[in-house]
Amino acid sequence: MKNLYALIAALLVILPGFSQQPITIKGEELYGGLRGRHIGPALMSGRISRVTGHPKDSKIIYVGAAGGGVWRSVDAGVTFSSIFDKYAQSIGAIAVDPTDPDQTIWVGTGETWTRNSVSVGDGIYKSTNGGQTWNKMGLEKSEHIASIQVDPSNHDIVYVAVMGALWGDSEERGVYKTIDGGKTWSKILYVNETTGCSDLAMDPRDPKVLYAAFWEFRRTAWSFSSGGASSALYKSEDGGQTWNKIHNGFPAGQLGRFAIGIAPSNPDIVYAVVEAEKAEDKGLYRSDDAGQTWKHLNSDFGLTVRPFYFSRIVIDPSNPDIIVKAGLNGSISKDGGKTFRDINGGVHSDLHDFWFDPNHPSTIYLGCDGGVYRSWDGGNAWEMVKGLPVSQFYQVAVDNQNPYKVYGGLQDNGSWVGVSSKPGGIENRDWIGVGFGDGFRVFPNPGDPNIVYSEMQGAEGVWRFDLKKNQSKTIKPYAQEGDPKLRFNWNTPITTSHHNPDRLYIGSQYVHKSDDRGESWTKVSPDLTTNDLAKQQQANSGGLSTDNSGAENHCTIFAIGESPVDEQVLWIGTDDGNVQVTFDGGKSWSNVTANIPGLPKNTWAYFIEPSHFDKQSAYAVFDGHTASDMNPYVYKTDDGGKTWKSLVTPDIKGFCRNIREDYENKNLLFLGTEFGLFITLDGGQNWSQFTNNVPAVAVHWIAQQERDDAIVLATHGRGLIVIDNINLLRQITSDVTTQELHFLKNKTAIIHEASGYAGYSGVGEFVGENPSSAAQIAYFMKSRHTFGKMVMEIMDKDGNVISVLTPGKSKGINIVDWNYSYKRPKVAKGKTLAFGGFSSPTVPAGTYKVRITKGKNVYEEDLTLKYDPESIHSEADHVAQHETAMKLYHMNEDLAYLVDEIDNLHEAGMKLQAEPVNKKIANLLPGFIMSLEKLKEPLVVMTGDNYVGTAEPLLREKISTLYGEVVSYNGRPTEAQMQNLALLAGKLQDALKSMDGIHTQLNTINGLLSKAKKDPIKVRSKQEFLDADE
Amino acid sequence: MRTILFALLAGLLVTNFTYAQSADEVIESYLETIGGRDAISSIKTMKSEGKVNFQGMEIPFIMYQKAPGSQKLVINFQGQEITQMAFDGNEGWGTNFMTMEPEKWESEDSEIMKSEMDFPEVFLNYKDKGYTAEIEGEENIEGTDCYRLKLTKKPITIDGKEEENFTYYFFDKETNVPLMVRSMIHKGDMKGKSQETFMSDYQEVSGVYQPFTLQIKLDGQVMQSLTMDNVEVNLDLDDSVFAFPGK
Repeated sequence: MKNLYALIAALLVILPGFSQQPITIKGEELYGGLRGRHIGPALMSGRISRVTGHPKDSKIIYVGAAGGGVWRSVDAGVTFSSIFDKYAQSIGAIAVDPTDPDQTIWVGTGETWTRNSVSVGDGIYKSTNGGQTWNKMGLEKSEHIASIQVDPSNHDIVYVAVMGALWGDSEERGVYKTIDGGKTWSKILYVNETTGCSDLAMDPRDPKVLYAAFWEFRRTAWSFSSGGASSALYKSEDGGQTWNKIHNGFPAGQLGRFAIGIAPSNPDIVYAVVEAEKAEDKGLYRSDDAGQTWKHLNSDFGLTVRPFYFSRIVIDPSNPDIIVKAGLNGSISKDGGKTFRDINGGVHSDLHDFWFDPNHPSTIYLGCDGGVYRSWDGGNAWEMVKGLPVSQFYQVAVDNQNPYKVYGGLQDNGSWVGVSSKPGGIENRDWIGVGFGDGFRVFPNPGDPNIVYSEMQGAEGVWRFDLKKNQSKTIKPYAQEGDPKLRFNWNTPITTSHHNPDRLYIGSQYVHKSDDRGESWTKVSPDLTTNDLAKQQQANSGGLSTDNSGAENHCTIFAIGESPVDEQVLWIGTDDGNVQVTFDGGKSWSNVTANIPGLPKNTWAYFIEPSHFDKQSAYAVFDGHTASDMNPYVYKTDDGGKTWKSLVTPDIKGFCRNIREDYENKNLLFLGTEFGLFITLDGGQNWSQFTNNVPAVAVHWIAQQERDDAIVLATHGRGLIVIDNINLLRQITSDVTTQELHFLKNKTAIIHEASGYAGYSGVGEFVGENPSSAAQIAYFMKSRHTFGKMVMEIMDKDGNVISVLTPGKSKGINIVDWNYSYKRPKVAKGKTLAFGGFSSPTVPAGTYKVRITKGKNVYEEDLTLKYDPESIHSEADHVAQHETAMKLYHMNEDLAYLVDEIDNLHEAGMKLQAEPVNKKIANLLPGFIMSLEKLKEPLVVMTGDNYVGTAEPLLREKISTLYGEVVSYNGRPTEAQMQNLALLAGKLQDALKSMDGIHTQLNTINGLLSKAKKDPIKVRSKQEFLDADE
Repeated sequence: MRTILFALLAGLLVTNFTYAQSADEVIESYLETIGGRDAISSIKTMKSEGKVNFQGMEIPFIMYQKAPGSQKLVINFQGQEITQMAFDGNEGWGTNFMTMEPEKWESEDSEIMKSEMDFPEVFLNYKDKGYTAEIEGEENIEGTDCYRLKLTKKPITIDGKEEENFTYYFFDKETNVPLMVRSMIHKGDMKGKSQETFMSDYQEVSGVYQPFTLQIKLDGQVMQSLTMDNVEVNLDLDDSVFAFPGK
């Protein structure tokens, strides 16, 4: 008996409350053909951390995005392609191997412009095939890599500046060197665990000469510190064996972040930008003796502004006196640094990097918070690259319009509304700005999508925007009499309600609620944070350069989740680690933080998802990275917060930011982490990363579109990514995964009627991908189909095969598009093409059968096709359209056969004329042949070409044109079209009648041929003609 | 003790072997699986009839191939025969859709095409053709574990610049046949992008298995599918079939 208890106890430990059977298949084996579609936008692009290029081929340019991976252009910047999707998307450094610049590229991950929202990297990568595949070469804990220098005399020797951890101590910092192409590394210069190598430069004359800048720096969630006694500039002349501090001419005291730049055309000239204690000592220094002595030249704003964000200086490769410096506006000097002008010129603010084309130095590329710009005239005029969708979203919301709209806020690029689909694709011009500054949380009013709520950093602006009237009203709450100052997070939580369309919540240290679209606010909570005064000193933040932007505001509410089940239930999470819940609309609150097992104290409560099924259930994710804790924390409670269970498995990579529970299947969860999207089908027992066209990018937020069964990812570096068809995931059970082929129920297929004129975005501009408008057939296979035939057919209700499709063969989920149309008609042969004949008529709504034949096995499934419920056409209109289209379809084919018969009879007649059988027949043939030629003349064009040499249209062209026009519109044809149809039908009848006459002639000839014991003239039948390929 | 040590060593060796499958071993078992060197090299000409599915439009085609590298793809529209592409081993041409007249390719394209003269099988005697192959790693393709084999041909010249010419083949570890080919687009507005061709429906023709379905994808999205209905080998195909017919 005791043993039995022990056994039950053991079982309970093994199965901690999971009722769902585990589903262990992962990755492509599961997701198969399910894939993400990128909708950008690239209108405002996003933060770029690095720009570089090929040393000899000016057409090849590389861009490293702050959170959006590596992009390459092979056409001098007209178009860019992403080449680093599978790996950490935050880029610190890119180096093109000077000895093998076509193939060998190094990427150091982890941006080094260390703002509060910076993402982390996970090491250094190398490609030896021009970016097709990458190998990780170590330095996994480097977090931020500032520079990579490849020895041009031996490319196995590479030096790397590892800045290291931003949020904590680390020994993985300093200068690293490999002499075997990255297989092994040695740390050749290290200062201490708070000071990393923030810049590294190599003398182009002598690769053994290196300059290394070291920076003492640290961020916490509530402070930033730049500078200290350990910051210094070092030089080595022996490939890094020995290093000397080179400060002759630099100010004494604490120093901060340096930028270094060597003039390639005269490497004795070295520039350094220095962050120092005194304002007058800060700015640009120049050495004309390779760093032995330094002279202070300039302390203008552009040279001293925000060193943590802008410590980058680049020298023209052909002129040592032309310098560009990163900054708020960017600065350019043409006199060796004595004077500067702003770059401006309409370029987005916050410039981070430059690349001079060494072959044409007046061509300059720059990277900033708003993408990449290029100048052909040495930096006067700039044009923006419009094809880099690397926008950094903090959040995304969707509405219920058709097509649904998407809403979200961007790092340094405002707040936006866009569309989820548009005929021809989603273009840059389809986005509408709805907020200034940095954008964060943007929501439509759930009852009135004409009203949008948006905000800027620290809730300095909270707006209600009327999209129709273009009016923006400030609606933020203010401190009331007796209240302390309101503390708003940089990324202030705003949310709408499931229960009252005009309700809004906003979090300071309090929860504020409005039931009138933000006109008035009520506090519905006490201070829910720890209110730790030591964490509220942001005015003194920054270190040597004060930086009080609001980014370090702390002890604030960060997450607000209202239960969809009960409006009295509100969950909140704070940046200082509290989870609090009320079940009475805010009258009383319980702090349930202490109930969460295994969660380090004060770990940022990033997001709370109240369950759709039960008001006692909720999910919470915590982010410890601002305390240098990169572990995932995901929990669920089913008892209102009294107990919590961790849903973390080793499958999850990266710290977590967002979680969503599916509307229908509570075991289907979507998790956004620093390194991508993870999905579980079994309530968190197994997670699998979703990598089908979804890069390993930081996913900050996930929105669900219930009607369309889609999720939308707000990525911090790759814009918005939609995954359609997530309803298919709901159906994957452990039983399904063992079946040879299992049809998945898809949404009822709708006949899409929207059309439109394609956009004019032109080459180089990003166009977002549309969802499929086809009827989609989905099935799961337990293994890939490789050998033998596998065919998919669509049959109408009478069992006629109306379409043959190419089925997907993947293990896992397969999705096949059917464009719900018949085959195009056979069109008469002429000299030119009748373009109307390329259209196919849409099949009528109804039930169709899908049949898959896979080897000996046959699988069948019904497919229901419906007219769009929002169609502007009535049932009768649809019938009229279909009947007319089919009438014209058959007219095309009647004419096609008529011409085929004429051609074949003509050929036979000519043949007989060349070899006459007897005189009687010979006398009949000229009349027979002439009748055929006369009949054909008005039917088909036999001259001209398909362009401007086109001949006057004849009957074939007129029928096929009218047919094409009728087919292209899903509603009732116009009266004019019907009249035209009657006219053309009459002409066709006349022609067919004339053929009867020719048949009489033919019968006479055939009679004579029989008499002469010769084969009669016989041509193929209409059915034979229709069955043959074109 | 000795036995345990031996078992351990043997275990290590086995693990090493499976991991270090060489390119030649993969290629050899592939050639063996699809029918063997003799059967493959006996194929001199081929005519494949099938359908291309392109953006929901089904287009019948006929493909003619002749060793070592002549080929011609003919499609039919409204009774008009249109040569989508043809290459006679020296120069390429196709039908202009406006005039329906044949026109030659840019000469650089014909030069590039000369590096694709691999009929009947790219891996047959690949070393003699100056190609090199190496196993670069493993990848899961459509839920199936595959070897990633890099096949490098002689460099090609694009816009006057010599460029490396390599392609990745993904061989199913279990069935030995390639499931996908990933190649870089070398020219045009898609230059620099990777195109993936998925192969399935392997069927036997005259003792040699070949894929009857090819599906071309970009970023995971199907661009077009080709399905063969009928494949004939060693029929008479005169060189004039492939030659530029003149205007």
